[in-house]
Formats: sequence, C-alpha cells, structure tokens
Amino acid sequence: MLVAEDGTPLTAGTEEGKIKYLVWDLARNKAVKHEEAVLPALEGEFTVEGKRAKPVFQLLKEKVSQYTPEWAEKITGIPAETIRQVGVEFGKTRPAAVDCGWHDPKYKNSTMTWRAAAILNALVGSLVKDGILITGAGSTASPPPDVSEDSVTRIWGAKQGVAMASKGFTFQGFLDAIEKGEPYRISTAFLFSVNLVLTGPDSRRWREALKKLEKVIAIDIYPNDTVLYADIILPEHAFLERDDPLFGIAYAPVAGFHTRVAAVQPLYDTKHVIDIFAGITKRLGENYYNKFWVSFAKNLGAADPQAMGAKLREAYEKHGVRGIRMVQAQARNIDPAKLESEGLVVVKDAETLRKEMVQRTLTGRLLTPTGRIELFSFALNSIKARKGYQPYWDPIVAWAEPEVLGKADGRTTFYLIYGRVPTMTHTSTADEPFLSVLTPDFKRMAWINRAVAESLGIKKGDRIRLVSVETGAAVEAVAFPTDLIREDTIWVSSDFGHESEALRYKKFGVLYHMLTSIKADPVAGGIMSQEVVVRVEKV
Amino acid sequence: MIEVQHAWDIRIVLDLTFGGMGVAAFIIAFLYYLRGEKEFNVKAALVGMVSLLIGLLILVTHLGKPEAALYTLLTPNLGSVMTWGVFFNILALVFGGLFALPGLVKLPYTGNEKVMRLLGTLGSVFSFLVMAYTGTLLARTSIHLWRTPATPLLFILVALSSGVGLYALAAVAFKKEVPRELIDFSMITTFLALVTTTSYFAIADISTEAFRYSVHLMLSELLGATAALYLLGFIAPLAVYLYNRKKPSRTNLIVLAVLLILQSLLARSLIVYAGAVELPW
Amino acid sequence: MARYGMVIDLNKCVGCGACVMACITENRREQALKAIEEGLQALENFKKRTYIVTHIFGTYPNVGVVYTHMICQHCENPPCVSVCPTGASYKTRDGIVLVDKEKCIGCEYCVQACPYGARFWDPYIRSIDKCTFCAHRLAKGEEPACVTTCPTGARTFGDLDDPSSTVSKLVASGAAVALKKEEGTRPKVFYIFPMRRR
Repeated sequence: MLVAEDGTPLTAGTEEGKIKYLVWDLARNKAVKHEEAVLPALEGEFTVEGKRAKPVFQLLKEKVSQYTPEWAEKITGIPAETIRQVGVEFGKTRPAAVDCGWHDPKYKNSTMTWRAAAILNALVGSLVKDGILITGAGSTASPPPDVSEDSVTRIWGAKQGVAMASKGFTFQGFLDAIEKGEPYRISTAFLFSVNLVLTGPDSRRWREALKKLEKVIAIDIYPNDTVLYADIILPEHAFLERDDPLFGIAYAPVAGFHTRVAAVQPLYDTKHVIDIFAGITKRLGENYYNKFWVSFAKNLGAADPQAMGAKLREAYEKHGVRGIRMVQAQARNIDPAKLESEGLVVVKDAETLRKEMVQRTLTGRLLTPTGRIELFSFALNSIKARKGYQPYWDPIVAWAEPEVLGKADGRTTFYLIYGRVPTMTHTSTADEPFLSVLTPDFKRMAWINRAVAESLGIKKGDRIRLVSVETGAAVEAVAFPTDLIREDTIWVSSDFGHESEALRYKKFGVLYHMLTSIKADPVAGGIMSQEVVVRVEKV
Repeated sequence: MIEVQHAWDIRIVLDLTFGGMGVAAFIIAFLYYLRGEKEFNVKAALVGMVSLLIGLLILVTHLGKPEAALYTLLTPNLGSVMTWGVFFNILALVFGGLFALPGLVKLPYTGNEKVMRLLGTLGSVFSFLVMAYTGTLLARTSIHLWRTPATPLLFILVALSSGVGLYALAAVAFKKEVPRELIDFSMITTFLALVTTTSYFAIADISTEAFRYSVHLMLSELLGATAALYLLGFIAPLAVYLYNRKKPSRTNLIVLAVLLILQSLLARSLIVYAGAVELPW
Repeated sequence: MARYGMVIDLNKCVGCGACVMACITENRREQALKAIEEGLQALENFKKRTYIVTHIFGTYPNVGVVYTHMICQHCENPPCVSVCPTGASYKTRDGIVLVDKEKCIGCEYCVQACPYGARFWDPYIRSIDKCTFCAHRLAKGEEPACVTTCPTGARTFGDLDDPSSTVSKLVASGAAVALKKEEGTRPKVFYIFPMRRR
C-alpha cells in the first residue's frame, strides 16, 4: 500500500462502499488498485499524481533502521549478537511466530510492543495460518461501541488525553468522581463480582473512596476484601449452584454455546444475579421491571427487544433463569435437553472455524479496510489524525519509552513486575482451602535477585518493605532471594494479599496494587500496571 | 532432600530403654540366681520384668491403632524384625514373668528348682533376643545412620550397662551387696559403648549424605544430647567408678547406677532423633 | 496379569500441582473435608500421597527450574512389605503395593523403611496410607487420577510387561530411569530428567 508524505494512504476512491487503496505495480510502472497489481513494489519511492509516496514496507524499513541490535542491547541488556542471531533464526525458520500478547497494557508502550510482535508474524507469514497463529477466530474482531457521553469513564479518559476515551475503558476515572465530584458526584457503587480494593490501582485510594460513598452494594460469592466495604451484600450462587443463560463459547477456538446447569441445590440463602436484578427492578415498579427485560433482550442481541423481552419475562417467571436459557436455545434451534445434559453445543468445530478464518484471509475478507493483513494501522492513523503524532500510536511502529525506563538503579530501587500462579484465579479461588496450602510459599514472596539480596543483607524469609517511589505507599512482603529474577527487578504474584478475616484459608502475600498509581495508557486508557518502581527496605 | 525422621519419638526411645534395661537386669539376676543367691535375685528378676512391661505399655501408647496388634499373632509377617520382636517380648515376659512372680506371690512351682531353672533359662534366652532385636529393628530401615552393624551392637551394650544399673538399684533397695565384678563389667560395656558411639563419628565423612547429615545434626542441633551422652553417659560413670574404688559408698553406687541407666536413654535418644533419610526429590 | 508402572517426564511438568489435587479428590475426599473443617493448620499438616518439589538451579541469567515428583514407587522388592509386622502392607499380583487398613497397627516401621518417603500415618482413617496407583480405577479400565488430570501429559502409566506400552518403551530406551537403585528396591516409577540445552 502506498502512503504519502503526510502519512495518509493513497486511494483510488470508493467502489461498492469499499475504499480502493493503491499499490505501485512494478510491471506497469504505475499506481494501481492492489487487486489489480501484477508485481506490487515493497520498497522504493514513487510519485503518484505529483505526490511522493512510499510503500508501507519501505516505511517500516526506514523506521526500524534506527532500532539496531546495539541500540536494543543498551535497553534490554541482551547482547547485540544474540539479538542478531535470534533475528536471523526467526527469519530463516518456518514456521516461526511470536506471541502477540494479552493482559495489557502493563507499560505505556505495550500497544507498540505487541504491534511489533504482530508485524514480525506478518513478515514471516505466520498470521492466520493453520498450525501457527490464528487470531480473531470465532470473534467479530471489531471494537466495542462507544459509551454514553455522560459516562464518568469517558469524560475522565478524554481529560487524560486517552485516544480511545469514548470506549470508556478507564474505570480508574471513578476515583476522581468519588473523591472530588469530578465530572460529577457519585453516591452509590453497585459492584458485581469485582474485588476493587485488590485490583484497583492505588489501593489505598479505593478503600477511602468506598468509605466515602453513601452506599456500596456488593454481589459476590465470598466475603473478600471489597465486600467488607459494602453496606449491602447480596450473596450470589457459586458456579456449582446455578443455572445460567446461554453464553457464546469464548475461550476456545470453536463457535458454539455453553451454559451452566446446577449440580447441587444452593447451600445457603443466595440468589442468581439475574434473580437479584429482576427482583430489584420488580420492586421499583412495573415500568422499571419492564425496562429491565427489554434491556436484557437488547443486550442478548434480539432483533425485536420488546417482543423478546416479554418472552424472556414470561419464561423467567415460570421457570427462573432456566426459562431464559430455554428461550435462547429455542431461538437458535438448539435442543434444550441436549444442552442441559452436555452443557455445551458446538455449532462450528475448531477445524471448520480455522479453515474459514484462513479462507477469509486468503480471499481478502478480513475486517481491515482492505480486507487483507496490513502492517499499516488504520486505527492508529486515525488517532494520529485527530490528536497529532505520538510514538505510542505510530501507524507503522515506533519505539516509545515506558515511564519507568531508567528509573531503577538495581541497587536500592527496582522495577516491579508481577505474574500469576497456577493455584489461584480471581475471587473464586481466594478461599479455596487446598489451593491455598498447595501454593508453595516462595510463590507468595517477593523475588529479589540473589546477589542483590546478599548485598542488601536480605535473607530468604526476611520481612521487607516495598515502597513505591512515585506515591510513597508501602507494603510488606517476605523476601525470596533467587536467581530467577534480574538484578534490577522484583517480582511478586498479584494473586494474593487478601486481608479479609472472613476468608478462613488465606495465607500471606503481597497486595500489589498498594504500589501502583492512577494512570491511563495513551491509546486505550489501561492502568499500566507495571509502571512502578520500588525501594526495598528491611523491616 | 534430607528429611529428619519424626515417626518415632520419645515413646519408642523409652520402650527400647526400659525394655533393654529390664531384660538385661533379668539375665544378670538369673545368672546370680544360679550362683546361689535365690531369694533376692528372683525379686531382682521381677524388677527387670516390670521394667520390660513398662516399656511395652509406653510402646502401646505410640501405636496408631493398638487394637490391631492382635494381627501380629494372627497373621504375622515372619520376614519382619518387629514380628520377631513381638514374639521375643511376649515370650520373655511370659517365661521371665513366671520365673520372677514368685518374688511377689507364692506359686506352686516356687520350690521346684528344675522348673525355675527352665523358666529362667528360657526367660534369659528370650531376654537376650529382646536386647538384640532393639537395635536390629532400627538397622533394617532406610535411615542410613541406623543401618550399620554398630546400631544393634550399641543397643546391646547400653542395654547391658543399664541392666547393671537397674540391678544395682534393686540390690541397694533390698540392702544387698552389689557384686564388684558386675560393676567392673559395666565399665567394660560403657567403654565399648563409647567406642561404638564414636565409630559413627569416625566414619561419617566418607559415608552417605543422609548419614553425614545425621552426624552433623548430632554435632549441631543435638549437640547438647551428644555432650550429655559422653559426659553423663560415658565419662561420669567411669569417674564415679574410679572414685568409688577409692571411697566406696552406697551413694556412689546409686549415682553410678543412675548414670548407667541414663547412658542407655541418652544413646538411644540421640540415635533415634538424629535419624534422617535422603529422599530423591 | 500386569506389572504396573509409571513414567514421569520432568521435561513436561510445569509444576501446577493438579496431580496432587486430583489424587486428594479421588482418594482422600473424606479426610480432606475433615481437614477443611479443622482449618488452615490441619490443611498445612495434611499429608499427601504424591507431591512435587521445586528445584531452582543456576545463576542468573542461566537459570533453570525442575519439579521432582514424590510418589510411591510400587517397588518390586518393597522394604515396606518386608518390615510390616502384621502383613498389612502387601503387594498384589499386578505389582501394586497396598495397605490393609484393618491390620495396620500404626507402628510406622514401614515409614522408616521406605527410602522414598511415600508412606504416612493418616489419623483420619487410622491407618498408614499411600498411593495405590488408583487400583479402584484400574479395575474399571481407567488410569490413575493423577495421570488423567495432568495437563501436559507428564505422567504416563501402563503395563511394564507389555512391550508395546508407552512406559515399557520409555524404560527400554533408557530415557526413563529409576531412583535410589542402590537401595535394592527395584522401583516401578521411572523419571525422565530434563535435557540440558547448550
């Protein structure tokens, strides 16, 4: 694809609703629509109707020429020779792929980091290839819709200069609303299955904020730390106790539906979250109750939310949540009995789905504006058009520094990173007795490089204090001197640090978010959870 | 990884101490019975049997499921040292007990010399087997410290030392003379026990990792017990013995007797608590 | 009549501990529920039929992690069987070493005799307990719970007398080795140790 000097792709107008982008055909020595090119140029500089333009590949080459292995060695500490060697190996080996990442952004430049990984994959032909990497299989791959203009998160995000503020990802914006009443005051928080005081950045502030609210209502299955701040607790069925509606299968490369069927009767006085919302709205009056069902139907994607809403309501009032599932199953011609006995229905198996995805790629029917895999990011380019150039949204790729780069000296200050352990996930395992004791102690400790620990006089099992250099907030941890971590970095598991005394089986850990602060990544507004530098002190 | 054993604790130690001491005292009592001093030695034999019984009762408190012990007699595994130990203990108690009970109550065969000699002999044979089995039991495990000929040998030696001690205390209690040669004998057993104990340390640095670790324990965490064994269990008896030769007294004998019993308790404790196994994980 | 054995590939083990939990839920459910009732201390002291140990070696940046697995080795010459006074410890014709709860007196001689630390006193059932190779599952044609659960397939199980079984092939190839051979136990659990690269 040809890109002009001002950074815009060259086009030949629109045909059948699709923009026709231009490439330079070396065979005919002119710019043509890409589907008409015989020999599309990867490199070079060309003039099209008086405009100078370069192919994206040329721009990529020029861009990365400054990012030499020697340059990278200074930042990463990995020998330039090794980087070069890996690069050559990667280039020569087929198949080869780099994981394009998830659970980000941890740093200000995470978007760019994963773009770089994806570009590498595209260059060696690994993207959307069976047996290598298939992305977007089974999903729509289109971004979520904008949230309301009145949304606290959207307003806060815009104020921070977040490019995608309209998507409302910036939940951390609620703090300003609660603390300062900006953009407006919030009086109530309705928390559904979220452990805010453990997972919200700058944990101290969330604790104060929850106390400041007039009312906090929490729906959860465990008395975790956040629930203890609630004025009203609405206990919910645990996963074995519930019949659920129909869900699309998400974390597997198949297209289909799954549900939950109660394996045991609820042990305690709990309700399903739908029971809770239906119950509350019913008490608010017929108007609200009706609105609830219509809104529910709309969220399920019903073509006629009014009609479907009425159907769901009727089914629910007769059969509870199970009734909702039956309606959903009917709408998709799924045998409810089969669904209930097997728990899932696969509509398109993995092989079919993969084949389809690969076919779509080969026939140019992906969701990019050209229908093809593009190194050039149209999304980032439109951000650049709106907000001006920043390396964080370079449409090709650019090195952008994390905030913490260079701020840790590896002697008294350290980069803080976190990870997960196999025995813990979310609230649902916070009080699981065996998972708690089967977690080896060292995975609950703060990992510090062995040599560094020695120089600081820190031994295994010593109580240490991690102090956030930015906020001064401190948290205690147990030290684990090890060779598994770099000299300038400290690792903790973010899975622990629960303090709720109502949890019977919890053990020690590090409350990670005591050390983070409120940030927003420039592209999507994520909390940048690893932009933290800590000081280490002996207790 | 090295794991210090903790399945066997003080109750096992006490069982083996009381047991070894009791059966050794019985054998000594029977030998002196044969020499002619009948009345006292039957009583001394009884003291021995009571000690054995106390040991066994303490053992029962250690068993996880003592009521199943019947199976040792119903479906015994003859390949197990412990099975033989149970037989020997029971038979020692039966024959030794029958021999010694006349010291408490008058029984029909009390005057029958032949029967008494038979009971005493059988009691002594099984008593000796009890003495020998205590160490052999430990030797047939995966704990390298125990798995040496030194262990059965050491346990026999300290049983004999403590048996002399118990016998001497019985003699003092019944206002009898403690035979000089018996005290001399206890110095031989003490000396040999000292040599045997020291042999563990002497071969440690060329032994297996688990063995070395056990010895390391004996010289660090359990150093107090090791020191106590050498000082109170070996050196003090020798000192008291020499002192008693210069200035004989009843008090000296009592002190010596107690030290000899302590020797057995300390030696067994040290060996049992220092036991460790090297697991390949 | 089989000769059951296991191969554990330490290259594949990621140390998740699912095998430990699978064994507990399959074989010691009642004991587990009791321990949960008693609280955290009872859980910390809860003995296991199988467990993993983490080994970290090397100096940064050349570091490695290996997980070793403790499990009863179901020895062909089991010292635990030879020392048991009542015969409560016995070996089946399929080569599985088991404990007859009825006859166990809790003397823990077998605990001292086992060089692998595989046996323990279970106060909840008042007997010595240990891995049974899930004999009750084998009887139904299923594999032991830990083998089925392992997400990476690190544990494989089969008949060592069947030359076509995976375990036989791995042992015959020399890739899978026995531990503490010098004890003369002739264990039937074999380990594939991690490859050293570079």
